[in-house]
Amino acid sequence: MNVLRNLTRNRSRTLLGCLIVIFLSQYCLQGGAATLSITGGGSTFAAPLYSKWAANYRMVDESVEINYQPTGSSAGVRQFVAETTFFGASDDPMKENEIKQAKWPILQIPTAIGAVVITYNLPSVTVSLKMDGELIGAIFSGQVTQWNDVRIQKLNPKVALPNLPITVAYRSDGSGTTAVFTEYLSLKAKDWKDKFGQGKSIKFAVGLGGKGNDGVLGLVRQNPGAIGYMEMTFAMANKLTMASIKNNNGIFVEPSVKALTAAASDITKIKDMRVSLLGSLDKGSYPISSFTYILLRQKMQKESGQKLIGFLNWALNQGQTTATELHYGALPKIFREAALKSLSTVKFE
Amino acid sequence: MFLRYKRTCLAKIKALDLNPKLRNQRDQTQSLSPKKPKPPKKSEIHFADRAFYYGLKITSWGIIFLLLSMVVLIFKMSWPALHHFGFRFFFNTEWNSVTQEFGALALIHGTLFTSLGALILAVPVGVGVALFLNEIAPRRLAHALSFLIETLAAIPSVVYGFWGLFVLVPWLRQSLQPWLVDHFSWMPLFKGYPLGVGIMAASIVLAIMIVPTIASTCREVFRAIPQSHREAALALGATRWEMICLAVLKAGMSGVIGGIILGLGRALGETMAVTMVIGNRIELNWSLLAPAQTMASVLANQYAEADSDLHLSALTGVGLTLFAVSILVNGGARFVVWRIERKFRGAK
Repeated sequence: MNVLRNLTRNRSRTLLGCLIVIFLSQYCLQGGAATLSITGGGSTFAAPLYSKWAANYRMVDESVEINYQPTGSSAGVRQFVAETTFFGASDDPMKENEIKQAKWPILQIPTAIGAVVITYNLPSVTVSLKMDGELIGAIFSGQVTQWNDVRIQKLNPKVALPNLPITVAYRSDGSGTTAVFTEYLSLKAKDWKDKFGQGKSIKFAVGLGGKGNDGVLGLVRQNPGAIGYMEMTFAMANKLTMASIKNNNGIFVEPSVKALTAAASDITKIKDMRVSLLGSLDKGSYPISSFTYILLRQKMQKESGQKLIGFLNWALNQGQTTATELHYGALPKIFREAALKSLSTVKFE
Repeated sequence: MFLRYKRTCLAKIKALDLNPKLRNQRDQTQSLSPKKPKPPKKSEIHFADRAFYYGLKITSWGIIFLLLSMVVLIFKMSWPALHHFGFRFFFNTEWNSVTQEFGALALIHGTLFTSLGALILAVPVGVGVALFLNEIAPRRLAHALSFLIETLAAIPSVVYGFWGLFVLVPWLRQSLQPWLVDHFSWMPLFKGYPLGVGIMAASIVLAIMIVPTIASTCREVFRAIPQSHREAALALGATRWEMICLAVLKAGMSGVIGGIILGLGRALGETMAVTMVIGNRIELNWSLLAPAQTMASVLANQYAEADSDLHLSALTGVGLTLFAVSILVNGGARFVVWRIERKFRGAK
């Protein structure tokens, strides 16, 4: 009693007392529920999805907390192989030689489909401009330098293009987005592969670099005449104008969740889940898209492992609607089944 | 100076001897204190004292150990790249992770160029602000202003970056840079297209960031200069301007340079704010309008997503280079301070 009376003697002490009580109660609550924390990390592209899943899953299973750290795909793979994290996440699936480094068998589970979109800042143009791989390559390699260039006009005959120099904006940090984008250009644009190649960070011939999606967004928003590439989820959330890209059937498709899901729908048989979606032959598919993966050990520590598998099962079933809400493409049925099947092969030790 | 002080002291002692009242007082205080203080034995030193002594020793050696172990680790990690490229690493401007060709020259240039630009802008302002606060401003205004400047120093760098990106860059692109291009594009320094982001934006943001550092250090230095110096200069007929030059700036020169070094250190290592406004192009450019890349910024950009071991090692090599450049710059500045101090002593 005395202690309490002392505590309430003046206001600052009351405050202190309250704080102590709050901290203690927090501690007790946390300790009481005995939550299991599972740490994973990697892909920044899929981070909004995984964070949302983790938050939603708390309502399904209170005893587990999925702690996802968006460190970037390469770092995700490295930390996973070094056993710093319990699971990894990467937009680029691990290749055979990387898997060999890990010493233990690895499962790579696709969780959602993402896309790279082309956005631009042309105050006078409000419609979605049509572009193909060849044109995008020419713009990003500095061959097309003006917006009213004939090559742009040819694909967009009805649009009044301004006489404005093009400012290219690219990702200056290493990124799966750049990897998918440059892989697409290597396939579709002449000379791109020899001149620039493909990878997470390449040397662009022209333009400005922005760090992260928001860096590119800043550059595009600020510079009239700027053009850049970024994740579709990010562009959608910021309501940017996006270019329609010509797909493998010669149809110009505006990026949308539907067009993303379509990108994987023409695959009827799955040999390897590490499949590129750039060759999709579906008519409604958006051409610059790819899966994003979660990396797991085939043999896991029992307690955390079972919880993680529970989480992933939930994510691949109920979680898919969350994915489309966040503008990711949902997995087609056969991929979902294959992913669930491969989850069931996990062994616990 | 010193002679005069000695004379007054001697006079005081004499006065003590002559004045019986004062002499008595002195004798009393002397008899109270022990005649010969014995050096304390080891066992007599209090435990807390000893603990304090060893505590200090451990922490200071710890710092040295930490620094050395960091150097060793960074060197070890960057060795594959340094071994692979040799000295070419420092003289190659190409940085391409597709062809696995890594050279740090463009980055070193970017770091030094932006920092130099920042210093050129920030030193006159910083020193000027310190002089104004100390010599000219009324006390109340000086208090308010110095508080504001210290607040400026406490703003996180990412906020400066945002400000740079959303306020400074549009202004540069729309107003200053087109004008510069129109009138000065014959100078290589102002060649190019007004993009807004680039070396100029980075230098200005850095300059604003280091002004408080320079100003507050200089202010402390100027404050430490005895008032009598200023009075002497004024008494000899100096104007206020001459007084500031002679009695304040010249006497405080080594301190001012110390402040500049502190500011430069911040500019060299600044990462976030620079990344946001510099344009992130690894290219050696002499134009202030062109985009570039600094050593700290390339680390922030590429470290997390470095694919190959060579890329990672080259990035660590850049870290090592940044470390070396900082040490060289610091050493150089210290050398300048030493030279100035020696010159002053020689003059006396």
